[in-house]
Amino acid sequence: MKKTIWSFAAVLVLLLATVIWSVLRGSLQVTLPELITGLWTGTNENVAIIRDLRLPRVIIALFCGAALAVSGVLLQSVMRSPLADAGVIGISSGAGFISLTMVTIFPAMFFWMPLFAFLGGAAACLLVFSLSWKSGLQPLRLILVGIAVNATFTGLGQSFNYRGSYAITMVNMATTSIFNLKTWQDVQIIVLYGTIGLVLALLISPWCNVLVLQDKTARNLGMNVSRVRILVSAVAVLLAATATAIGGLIAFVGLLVPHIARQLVGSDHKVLIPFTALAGALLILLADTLGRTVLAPVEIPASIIMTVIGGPFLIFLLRKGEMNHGD
Amino acid sequence: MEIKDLSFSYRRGKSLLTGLNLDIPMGRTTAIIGPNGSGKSTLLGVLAANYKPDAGSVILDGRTLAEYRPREIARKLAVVHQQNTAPDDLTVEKLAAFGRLPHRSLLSPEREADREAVEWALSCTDLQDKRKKPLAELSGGERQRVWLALALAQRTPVLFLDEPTTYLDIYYQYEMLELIRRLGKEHGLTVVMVLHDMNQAVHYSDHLIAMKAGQAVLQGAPEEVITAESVKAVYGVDVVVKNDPDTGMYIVPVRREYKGPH
Repeated sequence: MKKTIWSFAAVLVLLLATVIWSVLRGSLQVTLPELITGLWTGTNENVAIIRDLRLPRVIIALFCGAALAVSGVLLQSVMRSPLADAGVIGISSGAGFISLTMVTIFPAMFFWMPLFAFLGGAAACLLVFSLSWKSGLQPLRLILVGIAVNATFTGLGQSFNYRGSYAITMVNMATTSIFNLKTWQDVQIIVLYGTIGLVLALLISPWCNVLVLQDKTARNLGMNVSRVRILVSAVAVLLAATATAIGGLIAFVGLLVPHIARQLVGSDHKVLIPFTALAGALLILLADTLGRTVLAPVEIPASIIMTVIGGPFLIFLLRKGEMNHGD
Repeated sequence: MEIKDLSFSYRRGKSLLTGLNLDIPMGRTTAIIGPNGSGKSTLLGVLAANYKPDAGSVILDGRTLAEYRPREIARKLAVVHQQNTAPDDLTVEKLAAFGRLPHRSLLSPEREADREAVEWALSCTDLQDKRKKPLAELSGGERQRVWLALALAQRTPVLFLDEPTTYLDIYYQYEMLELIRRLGKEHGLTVVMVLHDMNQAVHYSDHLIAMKAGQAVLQGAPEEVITAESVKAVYGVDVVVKNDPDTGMYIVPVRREYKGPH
């Protein structure tokens, strides 16, 4: 209990500090008092630029991180495997591919991008489930099928690269996740859908606690396991799709954060989900801020930083042989 | 509980249970025995509504199981499975509290009745001192008792146990069986358990069902249906059945030459 409280306090303090640091640092630098008075009065030109360019980026990084991390927790409970992650098993790339295709064909439907992303993510999720289901869930099989689905959608997405110069910029934005050039319109979308997803995730957290038991146990407790599984997956896909539609493809967040969160606050989803949201937000904001400040003016996308940390981490998880929750 | 013309198969063509007709006496303890693959655990799965029968029906309190909603079934019968999975850091108390799910909405807070039922389940299984312990710190016997506590917290009139003694050493096996017997007697529960050990089945049940190749070949009071001939017919093993004034009926296999698989 004490550990849980301390963990929450620590992640909150770190999150606040990172937000402030991230807003102040960059090619334009202001001090905290300047920023506050500037935002209040609207007279400081630097602050105005930060408000228009950097603030959206910070908010989007926070929501992307929270959404992807929580999506990971939900998928892990539904698939009963600590290796499930929207990026690793193809949900993000499915979402990215479909939303990209639709927006390329119908550019006017920009605001509907999360919806298209949701459909793409749901299709990928359905594929993974149906192809790996063999009289029950087998965690390793599921991951292997997921990796194959991911490769397929990633390949489809990348084939846009060869369609001319306009498409290249479009694709790069949506597949490698550079948080720059984000506007307040993007913020509106991710805050709206992201908040819906996160609130739903909190509401269904008790279901996740039952889902991590076996199907037969859950069923004997009167739960309609298939229906609950579909609903929880839908929330997970919504979160991953929203993050992908606005922030692009970022893998491994949903793998790394929940794993560490479980060590710190335990496996009760009522606590785990809010903690994961905060820690995910922290991780992606940290990755993005480091990415744009360390080698400035060169930027390393947050997604690349996450891949570099995430790959070895996946190996670590596999080596630990932790294929199931508990025993 | 009544089972009428019940048939079940996982896949088409491969029948696991065929045309079963059984009667499970309410308020008593029934043991299901039989060789490996005879369909005893499958039968329990169908009775617990984990599998839907291909044909026939299971009747509980005058209605077939198919007519119940899942939640209603969970208020009527609870199941302790042979193998269970739960996060290691889950505490005894929290796992037992899952037993209240059929009685309340997942999103609503606990009521007094829920707390009382969990308390009762923990005291029945002698786990009150261990309530705050995570599962990882429990012994095998204690862990099995926690799953029993979960089932008890459901406060159902019917309790199913699938090989409740399999992973336990002999001390915990008898502790578990004594506990089940005591609970059944004190609270008038209808207990149905799959057991591997014939002697345990004879000692701890009022009613016995022996399965072989998807059929119930014996059913009735253990002392009446267990004979050297019937055991030979079910298991293909020669046994001596004795009655001892101190221990009651017991069954001992007789050594004989191994003549290849039966």
